[in-house]
Amino acid sequence: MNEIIESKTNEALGKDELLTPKTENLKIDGTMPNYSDNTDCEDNNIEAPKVSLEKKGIEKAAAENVEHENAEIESNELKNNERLIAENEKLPENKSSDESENERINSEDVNLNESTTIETVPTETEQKNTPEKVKPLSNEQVTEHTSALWKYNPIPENEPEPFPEYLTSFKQYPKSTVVGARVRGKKHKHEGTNCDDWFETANFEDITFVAVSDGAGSKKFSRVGARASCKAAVGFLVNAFEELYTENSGIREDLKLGLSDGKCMEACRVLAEKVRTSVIKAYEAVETAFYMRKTDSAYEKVLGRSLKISDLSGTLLIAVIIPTGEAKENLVISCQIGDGAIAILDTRGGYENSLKLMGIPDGGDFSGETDFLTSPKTRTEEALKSRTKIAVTSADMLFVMTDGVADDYFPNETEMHRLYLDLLINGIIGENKLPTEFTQEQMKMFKRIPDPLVYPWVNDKNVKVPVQYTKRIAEALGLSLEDIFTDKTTAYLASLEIKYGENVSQEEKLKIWLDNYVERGSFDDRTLVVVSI
Amino acid sequence: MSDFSRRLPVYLLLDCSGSMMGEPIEAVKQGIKALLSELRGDPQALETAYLSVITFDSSARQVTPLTELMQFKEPEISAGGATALGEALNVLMDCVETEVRKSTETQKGDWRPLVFILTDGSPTDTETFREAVVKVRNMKAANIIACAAGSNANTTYLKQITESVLMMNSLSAGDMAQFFAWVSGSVKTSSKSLDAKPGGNIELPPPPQGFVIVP
Repeated sequence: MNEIIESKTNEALGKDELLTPKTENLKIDGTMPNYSDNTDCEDNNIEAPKVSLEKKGIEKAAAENVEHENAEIESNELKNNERLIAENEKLPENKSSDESENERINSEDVNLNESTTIETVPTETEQKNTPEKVKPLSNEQVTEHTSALWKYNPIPENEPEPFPEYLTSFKQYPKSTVVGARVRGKKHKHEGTNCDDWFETANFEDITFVAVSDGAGSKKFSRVGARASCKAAVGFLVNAFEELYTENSGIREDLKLGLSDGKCMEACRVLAEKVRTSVIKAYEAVETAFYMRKTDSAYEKVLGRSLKISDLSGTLLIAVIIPTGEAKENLVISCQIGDGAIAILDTRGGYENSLKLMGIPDGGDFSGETDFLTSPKTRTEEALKSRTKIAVTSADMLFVMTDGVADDYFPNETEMHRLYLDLLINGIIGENKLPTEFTQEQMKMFKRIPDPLVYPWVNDKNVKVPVQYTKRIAEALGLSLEDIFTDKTTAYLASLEIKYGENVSQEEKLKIWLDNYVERGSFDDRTLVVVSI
Repeated sequence: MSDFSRRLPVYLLLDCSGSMMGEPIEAVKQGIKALLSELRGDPQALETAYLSVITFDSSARQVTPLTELMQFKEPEISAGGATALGEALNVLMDCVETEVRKSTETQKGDWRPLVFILTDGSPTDTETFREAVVKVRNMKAANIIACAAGSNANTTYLKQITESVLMMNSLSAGDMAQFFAWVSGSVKTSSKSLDAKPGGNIELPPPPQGFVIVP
């Protein structure tokens, strides 16, 4: 399936050789956490790998420039402070409001300089002459600081149904490859609580089914509902499609006719109805799960009251991919209850029209207000119909994710390209497409690509995990998302800087990335299923 | 590719009228210090919460604009004058209007602000107060918790601002410390429950012992 890129040791990645690197010459440099293969939560003996974070042998002219710039600005800021202090010394007894404003800010600056926990690295946007406010910290500065504060607490042992710390899946179906991973969010790790996300994938012949659920964060047993709904939805779909295709063998031919044909439309209608029914079946499974646990005192003990069905609340995202018979063409049917995202992306063509979101954005006055499978209004036929989306597409990739990932790529309508690129630059997908020869120009670009950001792994602070961010690369190179998407060389080059240990599978890489990419204010469980079609 | 992350704005409206002079105002200052040190140890609060202080005496003003916890510097405050709570509410509404980011097509807005009001008396600008209260109620843009401190505090006025009114018995340093400890607990809880109930009312930790929830 998926070959690991071998790359030369850092020192050996010399300029000359990089001009024509040969993939077979490259050697591995293990800098990734060695996660246990076992997804069972009882198995927490994750081996800490050797960490090697030596600076690249390659000269990074760009990085030096940045440092230089910073130094310059720093001295500017110093001048500012001097100026302010000088002004303050001359202050007359009756200060004008402006001057006292200056004094106040100056005293803030001085205090900042004294503080040991705070770093203020001025950037280009620093206002040099009129410092009305303290320069806000960048998100990176804040996350660098908080990374040391996130604690790791294992899943509680005294609660019923502990869920695994990680879930990963790799499936090679006749017409698709499905890679999925789900990681416990930093918030849950910090507090020592269970992960609430779940996902399932399955197939019937060449048809692929994906279900993803995010249990409500405020409900202690939402994970139970999340798992029950995913399993039931996928289970029902496999059986229903098998039945349908056995009874009505003409359905394959009908789908070939295209959406303008009545027979094809009818086939789509029948299939979409099955998808809607799977949501109902998922709810029924949650209900059953509830009744089975309702009288169990173990749940009551944790909650301090009896279990309610709303304790099993969660979202549900279903995607079904059906090859139409035409080359590279698929019918995608989706149904989404609550937040998260389902997106189809054509990674091979241009940027325009390459992305299609298959879900409705959140409603309500406040963004983020989410619906759950257990809310009665989401299960009416009308509501389900409006949530079911059908598309015929030649796209080659489909993503299904919980809001733990989707919120980091907001707005989804434009940022899903960045999700794809982040997967690419972190070597999770598309490795076989690595070019074997680079032009002089590309080599220059490679040197300007920023080093990966390195944060400690929440589970073990001694393990440092490098992650590349498309956002940073775009900024450093002055490229737009569209530029990087259209000519993927930059992304492939950037991925050279991310190295996994030997025999690390694709799903494992996805897991490591999900577990370690850092976004300020993002500490939810993360689930992402990537279907290559 | 906006570089904004969603913030939890926290506004402290502090009474600095003459009656707060002496031990009470010192206790408030200590309280803010303790609040900061507590929140700065919490990564969730650090990544999401932003703090602002509005003080009121004979008039009201924002002494610290909405600021990142890591950069927040305790404001210089002193007591003296009347209790312009009405004006303080107007300042609050202006600040929420200008500082809190709204959701747009390309950006998720900030979380619903959390407002703590601490007063030991009743508003002296009653006319302004009456008008401001109507506006605050209509705005519904924030979760407001009011705390009446000591025996002279009038909870009837506070009840007009918000349903959530607490009463603490005295203005002692001990009670004040408990109040600020509870505020930091509330901010932590809120920054934790963000994904649980976005936009909705947040569940705050139970108030400290000796504090009474005014029905």
